[in-house]
Amino acid sequence: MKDRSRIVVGVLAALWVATALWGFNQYGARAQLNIHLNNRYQQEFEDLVSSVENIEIALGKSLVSGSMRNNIIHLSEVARHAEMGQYRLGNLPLPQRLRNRTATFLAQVSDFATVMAKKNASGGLLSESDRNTLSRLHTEAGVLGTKLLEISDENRRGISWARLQDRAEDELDEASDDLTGKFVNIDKQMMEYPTLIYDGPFSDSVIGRTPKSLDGPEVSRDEARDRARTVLRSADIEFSDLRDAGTVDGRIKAYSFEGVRGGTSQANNPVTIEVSVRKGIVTWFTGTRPVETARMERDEAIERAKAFLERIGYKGMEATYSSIEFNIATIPFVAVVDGVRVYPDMVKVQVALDNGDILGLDAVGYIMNHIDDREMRKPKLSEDEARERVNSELDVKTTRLAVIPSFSDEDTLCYEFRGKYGADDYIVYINALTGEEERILKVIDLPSGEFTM
Amino acid sequence: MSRHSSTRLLRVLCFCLVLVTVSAGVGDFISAQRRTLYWGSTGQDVKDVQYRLRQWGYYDGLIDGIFGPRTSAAVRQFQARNGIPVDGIVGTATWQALGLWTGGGGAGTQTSPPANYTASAGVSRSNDVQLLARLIHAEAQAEPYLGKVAVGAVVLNRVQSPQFPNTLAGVIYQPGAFESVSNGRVNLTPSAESVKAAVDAINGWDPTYGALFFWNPYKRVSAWIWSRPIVRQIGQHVFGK
Repeated sequence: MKDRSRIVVGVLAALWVATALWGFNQYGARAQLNIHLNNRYQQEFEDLVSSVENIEIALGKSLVSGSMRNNIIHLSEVARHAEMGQYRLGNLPLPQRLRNRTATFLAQVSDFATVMAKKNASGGLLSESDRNTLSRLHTEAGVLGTKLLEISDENRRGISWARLQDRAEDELDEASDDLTGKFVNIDKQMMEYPTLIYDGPFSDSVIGRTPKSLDGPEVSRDEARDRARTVLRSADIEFSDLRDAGTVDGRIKAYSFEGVRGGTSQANNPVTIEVSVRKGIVTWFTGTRPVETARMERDEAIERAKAFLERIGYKGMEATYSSIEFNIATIPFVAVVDGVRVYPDMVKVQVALDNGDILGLDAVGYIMNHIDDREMRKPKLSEDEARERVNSELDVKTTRLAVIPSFSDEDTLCYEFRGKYGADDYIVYINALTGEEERILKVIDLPSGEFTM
Repeated sequence: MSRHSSTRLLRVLCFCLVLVTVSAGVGDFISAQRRTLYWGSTGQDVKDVQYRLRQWGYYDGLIDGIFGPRTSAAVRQFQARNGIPVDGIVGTATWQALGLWTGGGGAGTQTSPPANYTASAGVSRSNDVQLLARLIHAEAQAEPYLGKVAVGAVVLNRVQSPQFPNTLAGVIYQPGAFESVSNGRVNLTPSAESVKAAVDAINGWDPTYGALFFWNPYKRVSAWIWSRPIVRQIGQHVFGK
């Protein structure tokens, strides 16, 4: 009896020791992982500090430099450091609200410097206001750098990034004296800076863009519903009565309606359709459903989509590239004004390749960009003059005039040259007014369709 | 907690099994020509097909190298989705669509680039689609189709926004940005519907009209997130600017 209990105790003790050892081992492994992770975050942070310091230095040089050629180098350097800084900030475990403004600042600095470098490269001098903006960014980068350095000093005493990440968003306030509080302060500081408007993708003017074609009276929900019905009928969609599904308040304010598809092949699939509150234009609808087989060629689908667009009032649109995925063709159409393709005015139509049903429409791009009675400017360069500006290595196959989107408010009239370089297809855009090469797109040919990058 | 770790262990084991299967298959990628596979075929190349179909969500059976009814059904489904004649036989077209074709145009031994690389294809979008589809699946699996597209659109809006990293992977893997990334659910195989939603979002459809955030109003979220202007609600998600 005594022996037995001794054995039991012995086994239990051995188990206990084994568990303790295992636990200790796990603890060690976890601690090591934590240190490793913290080191990675620490590195990202220290690199972020260097990036901001480098931005400040390069911006300073660009303000001092008297040589246009050197200035391009300084500005490119600003852009490069700002982009790296933005990337590093994104890797830190900070709550989104603590990095919003700082991230925006870095993205805009990179963007603005690129636009300025381009301006210099094409022989344009920086204007007084450009220089003022650069000088303003220089000061702001300096302030940001100083604040980050303060955190860096604190960091030397060892800051746990994991702790920062675990903190609930609600607990973030500037009163706390630690790391969080410092980041809150930085974000507040950045928030006070004025908006930055220039011709780049991250400009505040692009972010706050409003639809260009919705200047008009508001329509009632019932009028909107009638419009929705008309468009769905034009798409030959059978549907149940349209239920009210609330109002949507994004870049475009719209009424939302929901229904259920009728008919035999498509029963029970939902239909959602939205109509802008102003002017009552259908922004998009979808009545998508699984499409099992493809019995239709791409061209036939394009014909059907075009006919549908004509029925609902989009006249004279031209299909551009198209893609087929899951036996559904997605076909973007662009407006044509005086023979010129207007790429910003784009409407997309989805067609089922089994029976040619229209499955969806997306007119948001068109509504955001379309201008009634768009005044088409006359090109200053002839087609031949523009063509001389295209690299002679490009074997040009087709040429046409086109309006391409620009980040500033004014769209750009260009000659579009499509051609081959080696085995690859490229599209080159030459500004028809200034002769500048505006953009180069590489065409990527995938089984589902053509894409450009 | 313990159930959690045991399922994780199971997953690790499964992963090891898959890994073994895959590494066993590597040798075959070099073979010059693929044979035609049909009901009853066995061998390493059948495993390759099963593995790929499973990766893409068509097949959920065992990777056993035996071309049985489930493999056949998966092949048919794959063919239907990709516009290949539906015969349940893995011939040249199906091999190519699976990205596993190793033969060249002719029988010659020319040094050609890898099977699924052509000069002008360069990079393919399928990468982006798969990554986005995984996030959509993990975040919005139980949501209606519209809600899936909307989640995809929010991610893409973030890529375009200066407030967020400027790459798709940067946005998705941003520390703390998505719960499903923090807890690893993002690595699950996406459903076909999630892949379709990802394609629609990448094609430009944005049911949120530019939203940058989404959250579940029935769960506890920070007060700050509620301070965002709300665009709309779809299913269990509120979308905000």
